[in-house]
Amino acid sequence: MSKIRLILLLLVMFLSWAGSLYAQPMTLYFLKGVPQTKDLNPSRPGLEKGFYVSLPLFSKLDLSLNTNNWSFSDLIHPGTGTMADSLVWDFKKYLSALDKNNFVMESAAWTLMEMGWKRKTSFYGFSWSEREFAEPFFTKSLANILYYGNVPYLGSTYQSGYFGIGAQHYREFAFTYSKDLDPKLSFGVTGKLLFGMGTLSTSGMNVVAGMPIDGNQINLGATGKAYVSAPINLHVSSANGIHVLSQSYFDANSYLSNFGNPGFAVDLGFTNKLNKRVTFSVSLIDLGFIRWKTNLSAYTENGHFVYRGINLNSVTKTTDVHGLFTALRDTLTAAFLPDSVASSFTTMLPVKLYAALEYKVGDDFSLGGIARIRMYNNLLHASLTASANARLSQTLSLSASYSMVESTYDNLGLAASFRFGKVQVYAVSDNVVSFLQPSSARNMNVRVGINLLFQEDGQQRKGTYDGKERRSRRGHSR
Amino acid sequence: MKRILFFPSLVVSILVLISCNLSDFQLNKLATPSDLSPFIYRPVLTASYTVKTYAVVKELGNTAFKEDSLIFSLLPSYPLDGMALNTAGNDSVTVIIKSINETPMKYRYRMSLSGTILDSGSKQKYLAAATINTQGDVIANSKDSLEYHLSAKDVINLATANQFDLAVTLYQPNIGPVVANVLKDSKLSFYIGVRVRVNLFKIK
Repeated sequence: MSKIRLILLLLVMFLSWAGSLYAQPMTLYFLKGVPQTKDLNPSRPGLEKGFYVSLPLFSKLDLSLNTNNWSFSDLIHPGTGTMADSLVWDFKKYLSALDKNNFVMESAAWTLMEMGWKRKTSFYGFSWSEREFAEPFFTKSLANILYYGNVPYLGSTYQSGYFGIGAQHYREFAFTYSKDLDPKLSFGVTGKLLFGMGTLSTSGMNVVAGMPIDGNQINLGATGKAYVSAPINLHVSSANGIHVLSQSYFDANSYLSNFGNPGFAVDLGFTNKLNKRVTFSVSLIDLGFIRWKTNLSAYTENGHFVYRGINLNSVTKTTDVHGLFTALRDTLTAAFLPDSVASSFTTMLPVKLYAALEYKVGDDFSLGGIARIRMYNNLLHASLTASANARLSQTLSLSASYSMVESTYDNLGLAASFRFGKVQVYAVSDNVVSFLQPSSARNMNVRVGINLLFQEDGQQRKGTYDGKERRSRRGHSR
Repeated sequence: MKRILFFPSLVVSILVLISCNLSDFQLNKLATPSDLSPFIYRPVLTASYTVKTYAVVKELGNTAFKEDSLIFSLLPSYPLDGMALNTAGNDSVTVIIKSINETPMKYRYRMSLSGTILDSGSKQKYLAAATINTQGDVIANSKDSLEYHLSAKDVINLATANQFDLAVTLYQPNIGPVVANVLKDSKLSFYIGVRVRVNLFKIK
């Protein structure tokens, strides 16, 4: 039962990160004049001509957290009556908010260096980022047994469904090249050299318990695999019947300087101007893998045990009954002690597919629609965003958006970029309302970044689509 | 134009940041959860007794068994050391005793944990015999179930129980013969389980 409590506490811990975690907002996609639009589609570098370099050590920061339609306040919220001064747990409300399959996805990306150069029809870019993400996932069935216990399942077979976690920290060196093949067609590709720092990845983890209605036995089975790569010593030991995973050391220098887990990923993007007003673009982001070769730990669970309690037939007046219970517990524990075999393994990145349409209303104003599908842990997550995008002046671009993300329909986003001389500051979020009441948010993300743009004003004026030279010159002459 | 747009945007941004309500994350105000107490059922003890192992069955003539009752103790009074049952976090316990009678005799049993209220003697009654055919062979067993609800105080006592007793008495059924060989080889089985409301935050 302590295992159950441990799982619960881990879940709560992930929830408690809600105030500090963040991702890659879709509202950025059509924000005009910001080079980082290439991160969502490498064929859209957002730079007409010239050179940019982002602020060293703080080029940009991406943070995101989203769930499948449940929030922190579903589990913990202010009490009422005599508990009005306290925060209270509300497991029943939390269970009612869960779907059949559930997850928490958090990610953070910190870019330390970024630069790009657009000359004629070609764009070249480079960036160095530290990225991490974690996605614990679980079924409502697993949460149900934590709350209700196994009694409701007597006479049936309980199945937890698949649960686990995928978490990675890796270093990314990205090289972007995009080319305008003709005035209507552009393509872009970003090759990403990856170096894994640490990972925790599970596969196929699930529990099955067959419980006949008479309750005479519980037929327990558990399967799954867990892979770890991190400069720590992990031990699985048994303490009072509980498997304990402990680590004996952590070397930060070894961790941060590890280049022994190579990987590769690619971003692909195409943009096609269908006519004077309509542009279609599509991109595939983070199609890649990391091969983990160092600091490995791997655990395979394939346990089975029929639990019947102790057999009184073997009891005599000299039997140590306490010993019988202890032996039973030890046998049960041994049946589920995972095998530990360390061998190199491969993890995939969460791959994203974007498809977008932009309708140009005026020279500096457009409407856009984006569909995104993210795939990870064999789960598909879909999002839809509609946005209005405007370059209001040479220094200010704005986008406003509405998104449907993972069955949440209250995502109002904003993106803004301000330019002061050569300094451009931008900030984007797909759900600004979530910052007013973060405990109720189911989708939070923010991106901020600072660029230094070295270009003539008129060059940047046109944004990502054809502006009219007349307007650019007018802006430049001011 | 620049200022007209910049300053309202700045004001909106500042308002959003100021309005950010983080009071729901003051976890130092978090109360101890009270409703995370799942019902856990688990089997604890099983036993299956063949009559001839524990009692001498007297035969008369052909195969008829004539005595009114056959009394035997299935389990010696047994010291538990007060350690066998872990009751930490158990707000309440229901002990469920299920018995399956495959003998052609009615029966009663007494199961007790000394020092606790768990004593089936207080609920003694005749329990049904297995169904037999005209030749005296058993064709269907008989099942019975008893439940004991233990309060929190009882649960504490349960952990200190120091002796466990189980005794059975078999009785002639009202009608039909009891074939001695059938009786000798027949079984009486017990399955004891607990249904526990476990407060996960009280588990040590």
